Amino acid sequence: MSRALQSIGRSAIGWLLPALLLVGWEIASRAGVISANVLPAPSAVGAAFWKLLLSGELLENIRISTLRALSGFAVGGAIGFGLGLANGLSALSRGLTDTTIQMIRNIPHLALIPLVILWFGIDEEAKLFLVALGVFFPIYINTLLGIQGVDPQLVEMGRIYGMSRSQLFVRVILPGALPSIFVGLRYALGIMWLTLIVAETISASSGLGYMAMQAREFLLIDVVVLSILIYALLGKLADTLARYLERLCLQWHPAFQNA
Amino acid sequence: MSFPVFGVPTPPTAGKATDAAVQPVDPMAHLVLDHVSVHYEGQTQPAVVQASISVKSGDFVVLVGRSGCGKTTLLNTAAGLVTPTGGAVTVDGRNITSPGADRAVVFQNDALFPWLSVKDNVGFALKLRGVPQQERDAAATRLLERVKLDGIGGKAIWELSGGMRQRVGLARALAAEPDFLLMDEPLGALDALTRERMQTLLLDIWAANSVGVLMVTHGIDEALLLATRIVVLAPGPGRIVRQMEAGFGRRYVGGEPVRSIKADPAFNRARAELEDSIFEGETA
Repeated sequence: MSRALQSIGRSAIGWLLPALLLVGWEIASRAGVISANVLPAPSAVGAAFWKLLLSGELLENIRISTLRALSGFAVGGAIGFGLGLANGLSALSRGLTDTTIQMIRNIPHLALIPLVILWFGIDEEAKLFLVALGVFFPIYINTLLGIQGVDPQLVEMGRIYGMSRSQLFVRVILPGALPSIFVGLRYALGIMWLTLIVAETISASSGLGYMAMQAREFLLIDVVVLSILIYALLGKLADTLARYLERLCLQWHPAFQNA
Repeated sequence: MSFPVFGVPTPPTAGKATDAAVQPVDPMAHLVLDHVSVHYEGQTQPAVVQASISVKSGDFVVLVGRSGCGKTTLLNTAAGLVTPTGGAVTVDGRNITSPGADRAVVFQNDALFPWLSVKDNVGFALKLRGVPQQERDAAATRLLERVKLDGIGGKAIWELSGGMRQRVGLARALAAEPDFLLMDEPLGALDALTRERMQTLLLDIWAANSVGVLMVTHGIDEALLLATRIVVLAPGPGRIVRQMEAGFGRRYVGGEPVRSIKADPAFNRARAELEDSIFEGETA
């Protein structure tokens, strides 16, 4: 009982600072210290939230953005994971592709936006391509590093037990690489939102980034601020999900005890 | 060739008495390294030249020697992890070219799977053979008792101390009911006190399981206390310079305390002689 309370207390403490900031912000706005043209009061942002929620516009935009983010993540993540596995397991595959991948990795993927607009216009493909590209690298590199970092003696132990290659992969290499793969996953989730928002801000006709840009056109600063807050919440939500999954899969790892 | 026999008070009778304590098994398994040479690719000198070792069920053969004398290479050859470039490794006459369940290996680093619980590590070999979970757990419980780790089956690997991990590794190795136990400095990473306790545990397990043991160690006292035969290697290139019989381990199995064995002047004489063989030809 007191344990459960303690656990609630521990997670609540993280929300203390944001809550205090909100209260301070509201007070400063009401007192006129912060001009409503610079930063609207939380209550004004809340009102904008309520209005957009009732009209259905907000949920529709969140739905579109989430769908884009997840499909880009699925495509880029799957390719990154697959190539990471291939290059971790096969020297031939690594020799063939790693140099190329490292060259492409050093181009900031957002620098490709002008090119992507020329290729795909402002259609869905453009966003999907950018998100997939951004997500690819952290997943690829961390999968590769994870596999290369598996204790060679554990692999040798597997051989001593007469494991086949596929058994070795499923029972030794993959579990050994998992902690590193999760690092890549969490990093990729951050990049996923970042890329999508930038892409939607520059070229889109729907979605959260588009909503923010439209609001700017009409000087609806409360909606702009609302969009930014929603990014923060969605990012936090994605990270929480990833951490939950991580804890579920890595219960054996000392880093995830009593966390 | 006759080997000097250490530590057995009156060789003919005492030899028979202690053999009974080691429970000779039938059929007897026999691991032979026959004139084994290993020359790693890209090395100027072979790692091991023409080494011949015989390990039967109930033998406790210990490899000693200075660094770079090919002890680990020989052990890995016996395990089937290294293929000899000359000579042959056989078990009961069959040629060995790959690892097998008849030869369990224990490394200095425990090499336990950190994502599995203690009991799942111990039951690992059984799982690969398709033994159902319940039987595996029962076997794990039994094996953990044998290495004096009752009731820790549900723990995670990171919760264990170095000595406990090594004992879990030993239980895991025994799970496959191997004919031979190949150990590469199994106690090398442990502190002195834990090490002493583990030495007697190794003897207990050896005596109770009728396995043939081939073990690499750096410890001269350890070699003397455990071995029925000590194989001395010298480096550059690695080769066997001497094999000698010893019987101190059998005396422990027969009931004599370690303290009294080590206090025996015969033990000290044997140690001096072993040291001489190891450092022979080395200029200080």
